[in-house]
Amino acid sequence: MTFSETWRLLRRDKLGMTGLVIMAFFIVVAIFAPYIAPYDPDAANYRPDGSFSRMDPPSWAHPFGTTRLGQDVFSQVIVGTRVAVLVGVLSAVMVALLGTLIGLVSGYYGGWIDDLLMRITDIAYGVPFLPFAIILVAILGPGLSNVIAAIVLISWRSTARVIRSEVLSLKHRSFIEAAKVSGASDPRIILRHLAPNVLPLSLVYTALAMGWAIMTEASLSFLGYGDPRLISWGKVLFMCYVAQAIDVAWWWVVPPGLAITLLVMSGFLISRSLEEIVNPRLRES
Amino acid sequence: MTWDQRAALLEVKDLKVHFPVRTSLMTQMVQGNRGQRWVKAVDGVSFSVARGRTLGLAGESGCGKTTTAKTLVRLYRPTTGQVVFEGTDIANLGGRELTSFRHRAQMVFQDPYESLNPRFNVQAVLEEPLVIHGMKSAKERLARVMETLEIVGLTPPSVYLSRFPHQMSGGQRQRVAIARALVLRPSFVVADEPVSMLDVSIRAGILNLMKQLIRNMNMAGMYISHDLSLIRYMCDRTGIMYLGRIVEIGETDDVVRKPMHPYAQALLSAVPVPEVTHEEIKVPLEGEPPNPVDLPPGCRFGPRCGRRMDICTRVEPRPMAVGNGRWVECHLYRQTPDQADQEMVGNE
Amino acid sequence: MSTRNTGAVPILDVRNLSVTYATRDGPVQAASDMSFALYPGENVGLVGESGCGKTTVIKSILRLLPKNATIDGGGILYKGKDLVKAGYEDLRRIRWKEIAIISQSAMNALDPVYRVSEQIVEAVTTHDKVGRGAARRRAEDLFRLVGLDRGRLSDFPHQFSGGMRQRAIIAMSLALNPSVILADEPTTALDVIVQAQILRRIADLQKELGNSMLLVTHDISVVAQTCAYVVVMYGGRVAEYGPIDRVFGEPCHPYTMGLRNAFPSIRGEWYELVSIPGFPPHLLDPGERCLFEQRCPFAQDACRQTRPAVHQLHPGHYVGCHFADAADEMRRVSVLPGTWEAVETRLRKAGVAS
Ligand SMILES: Nc1ncnc2c1ncn2[C@@H]1O[C@H](COP(=O)(O)OP(=O)(O)O)[C@@H](O)[C@H]1O
Ligand SMILES: Nc1ncnc2c1ncn2[C@@H]1O[C@H](COP(=O)(O)OP(=O)(O)O)[C@@H](O)[C@H]1O
Ligand SMILES: [Mg+2]
Ligand SMILES: [Mg+2]
Repeated sequence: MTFSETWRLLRRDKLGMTGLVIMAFFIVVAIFAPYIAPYDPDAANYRPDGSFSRMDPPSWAHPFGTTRLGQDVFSQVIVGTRVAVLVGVLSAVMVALLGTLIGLVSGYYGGWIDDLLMRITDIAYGVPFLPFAIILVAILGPGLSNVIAAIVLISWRSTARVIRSEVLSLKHRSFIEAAKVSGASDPRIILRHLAPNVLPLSLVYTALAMGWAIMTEASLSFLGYGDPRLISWGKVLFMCYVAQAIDVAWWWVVPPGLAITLLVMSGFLISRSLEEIVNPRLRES
Repeated sequence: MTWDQRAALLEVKDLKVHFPVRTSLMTQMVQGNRGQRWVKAVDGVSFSVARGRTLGLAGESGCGKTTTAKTLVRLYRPTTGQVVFEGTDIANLGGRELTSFRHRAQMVFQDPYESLNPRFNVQAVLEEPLVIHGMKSAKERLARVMETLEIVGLTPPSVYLSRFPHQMSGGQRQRVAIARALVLRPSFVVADEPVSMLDVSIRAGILNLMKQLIRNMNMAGMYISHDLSLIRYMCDRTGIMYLGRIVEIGETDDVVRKPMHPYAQALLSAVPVPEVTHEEIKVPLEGEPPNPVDLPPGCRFGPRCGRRMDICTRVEPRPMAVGNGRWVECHLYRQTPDQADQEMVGNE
Repeated sequence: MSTRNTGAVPILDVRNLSVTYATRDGPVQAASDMSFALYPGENVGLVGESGCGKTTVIKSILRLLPKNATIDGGGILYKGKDLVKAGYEDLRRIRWKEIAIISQSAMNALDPVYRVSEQIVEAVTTHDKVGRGAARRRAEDLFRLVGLDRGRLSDFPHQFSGGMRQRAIIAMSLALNPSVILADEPTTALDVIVQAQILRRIADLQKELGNSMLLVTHDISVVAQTCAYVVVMYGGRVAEYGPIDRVFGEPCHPYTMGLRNAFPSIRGEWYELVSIPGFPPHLLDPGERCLFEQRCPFAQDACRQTRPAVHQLHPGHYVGCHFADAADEMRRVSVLPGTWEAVETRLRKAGVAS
């Protein structure tokens, strides 16, 4: 399966394309956030009559209303997109790299290397995701890079497993043996011959990891373990929770909640669609 | 044991390749390594090949042909025995010496749909070995690639450079695979059933190409197939393999005209001929060879042999020279050891 | 293997069959105007390069064609009944019970999650009104007939080797004692010994049961040894059709002559193999010319202008070539070394490599 083929099939898949459009939308928003956000997300706002905009419902001036501190929710959500996209992209890329590399090495070499790496993977599988992330951030201190580290340290496991089993079936194909007979070294076989052939599969798990990463970051921020200097969707919700406004100010809850749902969903949609493309058995049914 | 008049380029002596039978973790824990059983894929074969000559290996599927071929190009390590290539035993080569060996020994695989990386175009496929073996100048590499494409009949070469495997027919792919084997100008090529996946009408082209190349480039060649008519077409010498051993080997003409080993006779009579003979199809042998894990005592062909004698169930036959460089492993042709040295049982 | 008795009635009579596949690039005429017959107790071979339409013909007979295929014309008479016009119920009755198919992908035709015995019993009981016990005994008989150990009946397909799976498939197709067996490359993936075993089993069963077989293959050696008649197909059409002795002994179509040159033999003198240069036609908009014209060493202007009709040259021997009358001369030239090289050179100049 080549990339142009993957792309052609992806374009025919409505749900996959929907996911891609949603993701592209958020990425654009993230890039241009400072220009789109009408207010400083941290600053308090005032009504025309000069009074403090405290928990105002949506209006033309504040499409998503305001918070208890008079901040513009719309601007917070827009700016929060940056953290979501950044976390999503960075962790997904790192997860893909780490997981794919471990899968490649483990599957290709086999033997004790495989045993060792797969035992580590099993251990990673045994670790519950959120509690681990909370503990790690609690130890290392809050901060975006620690959040990403927590996500990456856990999420590579499924990528590694899937890539490994793909490599196991690829490495007995005779083009790999032919490369060996030509004198190709192990790194060359792994990087030049195996990696390009597992890349589409790796993409599936990258998209999936992106969804998980965004959700985890939001959860951590909601639980108060986010980066204190940054606004993220989870943090917007956390502030709302702390303000005990969750059941009063729906406008404060719904926009960030919806944004999280949409972006996470887009990751899953893209991943599902890529998976069908990569795995023809799914495509037929 | 060199029976070729010319000096052998490749000499294989009592080669064995055994694979461990995979057992469950449970069994391993209970038994440890004591109970380890082995698939005796290749179980003591000897032969040699000289430059300009082609040796054929024929036998049913599962008899160890592919394993032998892959060991000759060091995809597998010999379990015991020697593979002496241009004077060096390649069994334990490593590093620079292994690379140098890889420069000189090549293999053409069975399935042209599997043996080319789907993401490499023809130029990338053919340049890779050159890059690995240190041909630095891109211009020089391209020239070699073009020349090799020309040699394998993919002309004009420039048309094919940017083609991907899925854009070519099976025959064209196999030509690319042959080109890859030749691009380093090796001195030895082994081809493992290179036409079995191809349409019969294009087989002739590939067979003739390989025949010509081995002759013109003065390589030593090996050709593997279950079909003796193809071996006969391609090879000067022919070895018949059964369950990991070569049970008969000799000049192709001798072996094909008058096979001596009962298994060789069976294999030969199974080959369909393209002429209308109005003969009934003969069933040369019933069943399939047993698994090479638990070999029967005595002659391994014994249980399926129509001419089994008492001795065959007890004593494993040893290779016997029967003249004209021909060896047979069968009690039917038993001789005293010194008879074997002197006598020339011709092939009348 | 004799010529057919006058007055005998064919069990399967394919008349002017034409099949088209709708594809993105346009209609592909995979079979055009195909006519041949199969008589009771007889074997007919269908040979040709891959892509020439052999499987299409086989699948049309049982109407197992994929959705994008249409039978545009012709008829397939089975015991006088036209299968092309038959209703679904009729076809269902005929499949397996009267006409069985050993398909090309037989290796994958067994369901991996059921034991082999269950699959045979299932096939027998759905088509025949017999109990499971009787079906089981039938399965055991069949296993013996195809040379499989009865003890392995309850194995799963993955425990079988390729040859054993192929035998199991044959056992299954023969379970209901069909009158006609359609075998699509039944031995292509197997080694020569297993191939001989399987062909022999089929022949023995035929002797016992009297059924006929249409054997599809690209290996003319297999046909030469098992069939009384042969249809040589090229580009979805009959190139030559007749008794095996005539077609292989004195071929009258240049394509048949070319095929013969491409096969090595284990007997007789060693001879140089010559392949037919070029590629089979793609069958998209084939035009009016003879389909073999490009690769034919004897092509003339007439071949580029009109497609030759398939005509009877001798009783029972049909040829689709304008110059079939000059076959003796063509045969003589066709074995000369330079003949096909000239075509190769011509194709090369035209930019078609082989
Ligand atoms: N890598 C392997 N591991 C274990 N068993 C193997 C391996 N390769 C081949 N075998 C076994 O060795 C025997 C010979 O196989 P092979 O050399 O492929 O035979 P052939 O090419 O003649 O069909 C078979 O029984 C096969 O199952
Ligand atoms: N489902 C299909 N859709 C479109 N074209 C097809 C289909 N099946 C076969 N063909 C085309 O029809 C022709 C004949 O195919 P087939 O009957 O499978 O040939 P054979 O069995 O002789 O190899 C080929 O050119 C093939 O590409
Ligand atoms: Mg093999
Ligand atoms: Mg077919």
